[in-house]
Amino acid sequence: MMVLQTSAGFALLLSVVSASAGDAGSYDVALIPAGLRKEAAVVIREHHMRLEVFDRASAEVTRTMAYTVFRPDGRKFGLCRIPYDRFVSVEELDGTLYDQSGREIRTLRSDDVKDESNIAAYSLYEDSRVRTAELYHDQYPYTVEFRCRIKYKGILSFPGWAAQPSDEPVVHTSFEVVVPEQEQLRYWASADSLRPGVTIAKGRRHYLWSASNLAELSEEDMEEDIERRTAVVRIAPREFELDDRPGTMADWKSFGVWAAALFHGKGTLVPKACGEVAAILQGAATEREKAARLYCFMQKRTHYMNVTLGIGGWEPYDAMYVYQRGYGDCKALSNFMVALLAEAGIKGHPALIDAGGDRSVTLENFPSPEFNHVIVCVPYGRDTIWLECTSQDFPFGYLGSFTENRPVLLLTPGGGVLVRTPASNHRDNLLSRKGRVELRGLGDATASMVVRRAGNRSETVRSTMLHGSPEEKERWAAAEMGVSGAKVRTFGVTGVGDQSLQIEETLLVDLPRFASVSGTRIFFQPNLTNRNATAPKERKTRKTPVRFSFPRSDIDTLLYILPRGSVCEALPAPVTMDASFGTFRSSAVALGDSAILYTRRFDVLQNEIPPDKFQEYARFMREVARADRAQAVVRAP
Amino acid sequence: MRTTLLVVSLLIACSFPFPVVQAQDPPMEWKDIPLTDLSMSAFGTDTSVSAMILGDYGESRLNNELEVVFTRHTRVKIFTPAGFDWGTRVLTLYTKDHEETLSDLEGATYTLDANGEVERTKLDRSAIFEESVDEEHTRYRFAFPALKPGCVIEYRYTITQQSWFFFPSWTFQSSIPVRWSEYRAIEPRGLAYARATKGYEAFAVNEATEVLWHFTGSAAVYLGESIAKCTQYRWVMRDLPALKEEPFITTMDDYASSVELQLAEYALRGGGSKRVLKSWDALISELLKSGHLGGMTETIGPVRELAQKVIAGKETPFDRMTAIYDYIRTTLVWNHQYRVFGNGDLGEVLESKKGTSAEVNLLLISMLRSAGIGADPVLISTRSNGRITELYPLVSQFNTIVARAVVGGTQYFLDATDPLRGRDLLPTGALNVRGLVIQEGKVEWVTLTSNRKYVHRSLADLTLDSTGGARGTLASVDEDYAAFLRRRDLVEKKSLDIARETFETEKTGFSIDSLTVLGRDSIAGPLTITAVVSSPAVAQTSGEYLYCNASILDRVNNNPFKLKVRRFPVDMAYARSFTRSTVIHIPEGYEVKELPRTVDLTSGLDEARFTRSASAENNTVQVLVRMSITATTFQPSRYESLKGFYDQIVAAEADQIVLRRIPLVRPQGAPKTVKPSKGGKTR
Repeated sequence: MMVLQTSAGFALLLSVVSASAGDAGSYDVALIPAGLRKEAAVVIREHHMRLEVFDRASAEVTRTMAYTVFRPDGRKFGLCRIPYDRFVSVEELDGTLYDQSGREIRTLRSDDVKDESNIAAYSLYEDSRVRTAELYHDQYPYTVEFRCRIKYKGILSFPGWAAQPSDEPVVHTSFEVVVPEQEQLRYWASADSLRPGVTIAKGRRHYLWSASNLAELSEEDMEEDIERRTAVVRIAPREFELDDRPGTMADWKSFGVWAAALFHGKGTLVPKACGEVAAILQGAATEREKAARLYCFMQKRTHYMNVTLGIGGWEPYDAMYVYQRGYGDCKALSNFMVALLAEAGIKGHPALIDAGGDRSVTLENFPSPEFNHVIVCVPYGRDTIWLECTSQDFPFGYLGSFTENRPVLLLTPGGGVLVRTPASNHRDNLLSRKGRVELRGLGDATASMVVRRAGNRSETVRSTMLHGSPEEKERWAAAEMGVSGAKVRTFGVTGVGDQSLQIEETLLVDLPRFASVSGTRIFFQPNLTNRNATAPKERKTRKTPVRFSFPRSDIDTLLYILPRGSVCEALPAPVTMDASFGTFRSSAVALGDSAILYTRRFDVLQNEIPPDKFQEYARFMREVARADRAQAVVRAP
Repeated sequence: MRTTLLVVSLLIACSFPFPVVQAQDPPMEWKDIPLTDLSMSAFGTDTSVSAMILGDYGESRLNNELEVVFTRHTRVKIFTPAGFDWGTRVLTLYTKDHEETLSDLEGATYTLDANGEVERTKLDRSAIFEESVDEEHTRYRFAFPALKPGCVIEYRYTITQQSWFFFPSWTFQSSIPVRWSEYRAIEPRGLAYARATKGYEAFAVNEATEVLWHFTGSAAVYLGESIAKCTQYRWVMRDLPALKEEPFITTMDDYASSVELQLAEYALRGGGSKRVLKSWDALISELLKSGHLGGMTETIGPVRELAQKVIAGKETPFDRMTAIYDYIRTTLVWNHQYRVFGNGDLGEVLESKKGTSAEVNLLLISMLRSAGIGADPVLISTRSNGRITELYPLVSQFNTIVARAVVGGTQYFLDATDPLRGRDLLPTGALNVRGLVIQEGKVEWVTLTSNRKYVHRSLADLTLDSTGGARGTLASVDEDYAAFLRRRDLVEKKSLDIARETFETEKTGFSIDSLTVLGRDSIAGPLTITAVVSSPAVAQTSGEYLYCNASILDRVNNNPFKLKVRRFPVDMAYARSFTRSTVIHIPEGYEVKELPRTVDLTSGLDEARFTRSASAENNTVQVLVRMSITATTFQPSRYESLKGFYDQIVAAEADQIVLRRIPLVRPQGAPKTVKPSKGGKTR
């Protein structure tokens, strides 16, 4: 039975079918539906995943993955990687190689299988390994099929399903989940129409999602969020147990109870540490002041180091470990911070968050452990303080784009409470540059600049200024000028080490060949400092918002002093644009014959532009890019 | 109780060889950190140094079981938090069949507390992690506790290695300054090791002294005496500057000072000695006999059968060679490991269709031979692995194999590890390196070269309107290395993204209305990207004038050479050739006032040239630019010329085309001809 892809995005097969493959000839290339392959190097013949949940602590996944490879650049599908750790074991891993007509060539041999460490580059240690299997053939096209069985010896989360995980066309894919009959599966689907087929057999309840004949996705499709370009189903347990620690996940409160328990009893400090805390707090009047001093102490005493063992993805090392070694991962450092606060009588909560990227995948209405980071929350109602404990440089109470404006699960004594971290606005993230640029007849210029950066705009420069070598700092300052070859003559920076959110740089820069001299004319772009505006790629439709890490404001004011005796021949026309998502102004005016004043202000008011505003945004940005590149023409004396 | 302890400790003492006369003191005493090192707050006046190596001391010798014992003692000063990276150390050992084992790893962090007291925090056993990387390697990672700016970390460990064919090599220089780096190798008489040193720094000590050591066990049996004469080599370098990366180099390893040791000969028990490392000659015959190298080039049944199938219908040896190369290229999967030795089983490589660089290219050689084509392995060291020293026949200097096939008296170097790389291109890493041909009866060194260049052509044909906007066609044509590299990009990136990069749409402001990519799926011939584009602002308007930069595509507005002086040669891998044609159709009612200058730049270099000519005819301006760099290496003495060459190009690229609106009523006698600017030229 085949259901073709519909314009709605995907099709579903609601009847239960056997997904077992490998019948003689079933991988015959001729059986790929006509027109499905087009130019693709690989066609996904079969993706089947079956998850059977036995009880809250054990489950089993069986998978079948079959790919027909047409060209050398599709050979990478002959490499199958199955990661595992202490709670996941690879029970079986088989594979078969088929020729063009679906005849078996050979099966996987032990020589084709390897077992390797799978530790992330940033980690000191993790308990994670990977089993790999490889199958290749020398006659194209051929088909590789991998089958595996994976056992879960402890449950916290389950794998999800995407009908078309990559751009390759798919002949058939299915996702089957089997739970005890009395249980209802908790799932989230990317579309309401994605309802599973449900059957009951032998005391087990079966859920089935499937799709067939999905055409290759275009480059544009692949730029959409995955759940906007294909069917996505996520599932999560209701009751679970990991490392003999049972919990429930039906709501955030109860999941928070489980997660908070991992922090229990880990906050004890030795007397020596308590003494240090007491000394630090002397003379601190308010709780806020105390918290700020402790945060600073934590930053000086520790640095980030990832060590993940066993349930370590969730359970922190205790406060003593961090105190003695001076390092820890986000959990351990946050736990240490909470312990310091407790010593000062201040209540702080560890808080789970999905950090990084442009978007959080945490679904507010679907409790599941989609978190990758821990921060600390000190609740004071509207004055709540958030602390990022893995940075030695962040000012007190600053979160930044890594964690701001997204759901966060506070681990309170009463259980989990899902709230949002604060969002910064464009004024918080101001970058202003004021400069005086002296232009000389041969096109060289010298600029004296004052650059102020606030909020998220100061983050990268803060660490460069604190830890970079003089060359790195100079390179940074030179790169700030939009022209190549800038040479920094003097450079000063203030506000880096203190707890303020603003950094100020003053610099004197030589700009060799800033202006082009052509015959008797001098050409230059008055927009010296902010030349990077780009328009998004043109496309007819878009389903995914355009996302920025944060809203922002840029103000550039540049006064150009022209060579004596020169005449201003042409200036860029002023530009004014207003839209719901931002405003842009730029202008250049001649001040007599000797000077030009250029001003530019660009406010991006939102961090997300909805898909229906995409065309307007693209037009807006094209105009910005055009205005930014406009030239001034000066007739040389 | 006391006696037992004493006996045990005596036994332990006796189980290691020890010098008969007290040997020279080690340069550092364990746990004895000078207070001045702890209180030092910066590296002299240079606050940019985040850490320095105070002392690094290594020693290699044989133990009583005739294993090589390598001990190392290192002390690092950390000045700033950026230096905390030095607080995490990683050791990777070759542990297949227990070849190498790690023992006695210990360490501590030393800091001064507020009262100036030394605080010692031990490296806890639980902070040492053992990771089984794969079947052959084990990695140990350890993180020092209680790091803070100003601290000193100290650690030591022992690696015992079963094979005494090599002594561990030693690198003196580092990415941070080194105050003292010392390596000692103690060789019993009867075992002689060949030494290769390289680098730009001088030794403070480079000496060999005679010492007597006491051996027991197999060592004593082998050496025939329990008190054996040994030669102790001692190399010291001091006050080494940090090694900093520079652009256009082969590898930093070429410039770091180091010592390598390989067994040259050993004494035979019955008297006399056996030369292990006599000459390149001897090495070649050993490699030819090795089942993991020479043995894998022999023709075996399945390879012969396959070769016959692959060359079916190919008449000439040249076509047969190409067919076999293409077969290996498209069907063998290289696992991205460079190796000199294969797994010893050609049948297995053929069956699994995957392997290391050695396995892929040894199968290639075996197939070529099966087809009657003369082919031999060539050992090389890729550019990132560093240059080899022809002075010492050390096989460890090489890291991969390529094939040399000889057809019709011409030699072809082949490396079939990349499905996108055609027969006539070598990988960039194998270009211009020296190679040793592994063949019977002679020592032949070859230099791997390719007559292929990096060739890029671009074309812009644009119709300008009076507001400064333009529409037209942009084209980019890549050949040889340029095509290969861009095709490789295309595998990972989308064609639209590649087009946007090629035409630098962010800088030039073009929107791509349609796009064609030709030659993407073949590996031969050019790769052509053509786009129909439009831009609202190619030229700048100002009253009656329009100004347009003549370098629409591939404008050089950056000098890649930024350093004032250069210590190392500039290594460009391949010769380069760029051609750029820009055609601008000017809007109706406009005339050309100025054209870009005609230039011909060489900056005194024979191997580099940039020329430009411009002409205007029938409302069309044409600018033609050619740039070529024919050399692949420039010595430091020519660096300034090369840098100057680019400076001149950057300046020339600023030239504009100036257009002026023709007045509606032309004043009497006004000139109609185009006035070229200084040095300009019209036709």
